[in-house]
Amino acid sequence: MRQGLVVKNITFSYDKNPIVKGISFNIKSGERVAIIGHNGCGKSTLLKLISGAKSPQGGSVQFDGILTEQKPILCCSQNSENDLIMDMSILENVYIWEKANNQIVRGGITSQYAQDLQKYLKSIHPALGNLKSNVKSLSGGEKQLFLLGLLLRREASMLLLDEHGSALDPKARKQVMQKTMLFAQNLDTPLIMVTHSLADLEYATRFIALKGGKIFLDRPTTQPLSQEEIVSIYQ
Amino acid sequence: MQVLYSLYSAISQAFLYAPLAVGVGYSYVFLRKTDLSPEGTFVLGACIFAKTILITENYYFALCAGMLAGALGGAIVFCLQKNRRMNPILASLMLIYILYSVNLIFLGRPNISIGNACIPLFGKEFVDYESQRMIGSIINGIILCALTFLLSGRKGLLLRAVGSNSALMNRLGYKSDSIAMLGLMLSNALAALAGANTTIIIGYADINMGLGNAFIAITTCLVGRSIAPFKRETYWGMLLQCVLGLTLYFFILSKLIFFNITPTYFKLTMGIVLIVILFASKKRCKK
Amino acid sequence: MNKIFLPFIVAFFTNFLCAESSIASTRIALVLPAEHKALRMIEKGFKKEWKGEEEVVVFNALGEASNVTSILDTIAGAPGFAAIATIGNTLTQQAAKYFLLRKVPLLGAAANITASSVNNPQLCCVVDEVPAKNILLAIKKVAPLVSKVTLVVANDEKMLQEIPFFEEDAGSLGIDVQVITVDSLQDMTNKVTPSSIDKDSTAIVILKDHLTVSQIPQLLKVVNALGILLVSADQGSVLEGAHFGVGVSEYQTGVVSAQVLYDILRETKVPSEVGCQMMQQFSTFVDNNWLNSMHTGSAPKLRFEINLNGLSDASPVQPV
Repeated sequence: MRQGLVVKNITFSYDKNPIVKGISFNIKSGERVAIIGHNGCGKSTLLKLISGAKSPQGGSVQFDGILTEQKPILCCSQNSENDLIMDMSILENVYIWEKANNQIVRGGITSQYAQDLQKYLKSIHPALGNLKSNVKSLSGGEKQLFLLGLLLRREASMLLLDEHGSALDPKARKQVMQKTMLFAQNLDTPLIMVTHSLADLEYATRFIALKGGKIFLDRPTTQPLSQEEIVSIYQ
Repeated sequence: MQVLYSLYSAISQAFLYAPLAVGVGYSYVFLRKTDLSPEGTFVLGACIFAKTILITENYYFALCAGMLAGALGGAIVFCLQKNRRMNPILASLMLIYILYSVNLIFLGRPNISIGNACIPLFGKEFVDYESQRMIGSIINGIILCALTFLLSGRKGLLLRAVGSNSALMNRLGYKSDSIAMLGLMLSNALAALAGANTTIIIGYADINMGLGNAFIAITTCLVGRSIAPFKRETYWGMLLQCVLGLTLYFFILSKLIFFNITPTYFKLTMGIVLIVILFASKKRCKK
Repeated sequence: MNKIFLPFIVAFFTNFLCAESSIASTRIALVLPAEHKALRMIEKGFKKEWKGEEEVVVFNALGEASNVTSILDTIAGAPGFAAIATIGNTLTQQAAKYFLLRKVPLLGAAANITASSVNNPQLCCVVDEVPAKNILLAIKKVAPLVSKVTLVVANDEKMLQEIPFFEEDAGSLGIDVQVITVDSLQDMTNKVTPSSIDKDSTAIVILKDHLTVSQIPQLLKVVNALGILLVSADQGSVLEGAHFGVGVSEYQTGVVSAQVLYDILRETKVPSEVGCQMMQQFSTFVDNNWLNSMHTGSAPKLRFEINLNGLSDASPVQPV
């Protein structure tokens, strides 16, 4: 039975300066949650705690009953170069990623595997179809989509997006967001995205607004934000 | 004739030094660690080789012993710089500094002769300079080709990936420290191999024989990279680039010696020639 | 593709520009292992004395092993080198191995390598070593009451052969010898200490071997503690700090080397007959600083009477 993500009263501080002050919420599979808030309110830290990249100093984060800090979940950040190996080809990047996750067993890359991979990547973006091309030669949007594609191929985890479109120009950004949502519709795991842009709320089913390290608002996007609420979130 | 001979000389010297340059290339280009320690492990390999061949009189055994010692040196230099405890350049300089004493301990004196040690091959024993140089170069070439073949598969990918993005490798669950250590061990074992084969050919091991080798290795590796027409970073490419750079270096060296440049200006001239080559090829790349 | 070949083509082309002028006459190669004052003195003596019409071309390896190989390759590849002179043991050994099959007359200046040990009958050497008798006579001049000296010598084949000759010469002068053989640098620190030197010894004598010559500062500590002398067999060790030494002047070594090589090229002598030519002229070298401080009394006191006038006719050595 899938329990989804359970966040229980977590706290975290940098050098005795509390950033996250006791946050609790649950996210069910298939839910798409946007986390919003002003700069420094702790959204990125919260996402790192959820992914397990950082351990909470109090409370716990469980995904399907397992503490995430024991099995960190990769997240798609705004700088995709952190998560790719720049001077290698697409195929080599896929190999590195999937070898680590035991998606490639002994025997290595077979021609069948390469064919499937090519088909899959082409469906994300035509430029990714050329497996031999260097990742360096891809544009920013293509890199984000490639990374997204890699994340989606990993089994049974959440999709965590940390402002993954914000470094792109508006056109590429829109393309990346639309593709993301297209894939997310078929996903039976939670999707959590941290975003700066309120326009991105249209892609989410629920939003959590943070303020001063605590949850300020938590409700479905069917109830849009009022002007006063926006002002008080970003004040 | 003379030119052909100096070309032959340059190529055979290039193969003698190729393991050194390729080793430095692995750490400098693929692992992105500026590791000068081959200057020390070159001598370490030579010393251990000389001592072992004097005791066991077995060339191949001594060669393995020298390479193992070099690998150990690489492991030490990695442990020094692990977790950024020490700047990599300082760590390798530290190792060179310490190895001077270690080499003296093994040699016992600043210079030992290995006499008429021979290379046994196909039931024959080769003692003279030319055939030893030929066999030494071929053995270097075989080891390098075998290693390059091995690394050109998926194993070598991990090494390059660690150098390029070790944070990601850690996040993905690889032990990037072990892979980086293996890389440094490999590069230093190769330097030791070059030292060992140099020793058998020139007939002695000397405490100062590593002088200037880190410079030769890094420069020739970079010169080779800049003049080579292929840009993609592969292990075969690296091997070819290093051999090319070394051949050019020793060819120029023999030209300078042929023109008999006075010692005072020798290194100045060599330096300027190398700078001109590096600059000229950069300009062409931009076009 | 041009990029690869361009540097080669340039080097190729420049080669022909200079080749014409330099290959015209036959030449002699003189190879120096490193840049050093003493080596330059040998070169100076060699060039000054060289009487043949062959041009003397000097190569310098600048202390790098890779340069030595390139130099030997250059000499082997260039036409017109009638003979090769090398300085020092290791370089001579390498050259003897290298030119084994090429049958070029080889001369090792300031080297002591027998042709049989390297299997090369084309090799002869000018040995700049001093008979033990000359060293012992100098000691006797300075310290007339000498009854015993301590010989510190490296434990290798070549040096061990010299010990009996040393003992024999000492015996004829009525001097006892305490011999300490050392295997390695660590061995040296263990075996050569103030307590290990016999109480009635007047001096530590070292011969020309890498091991002892490289440890002069340590030997100086021992002799200063005991108030005895440190005597060496060459000029270089006196420059390093030995009190005085009897040896061959570097310049003279060059001169004799030039004479030997000239005779061989004019075929009045055969390399195998020359073998290892001993030098005949010896000088006494004195550490001038030490001599001055002995006169002013600021040097460590010696435990016996010495006659510094015995050194007055010796050539003083200025520190470099």
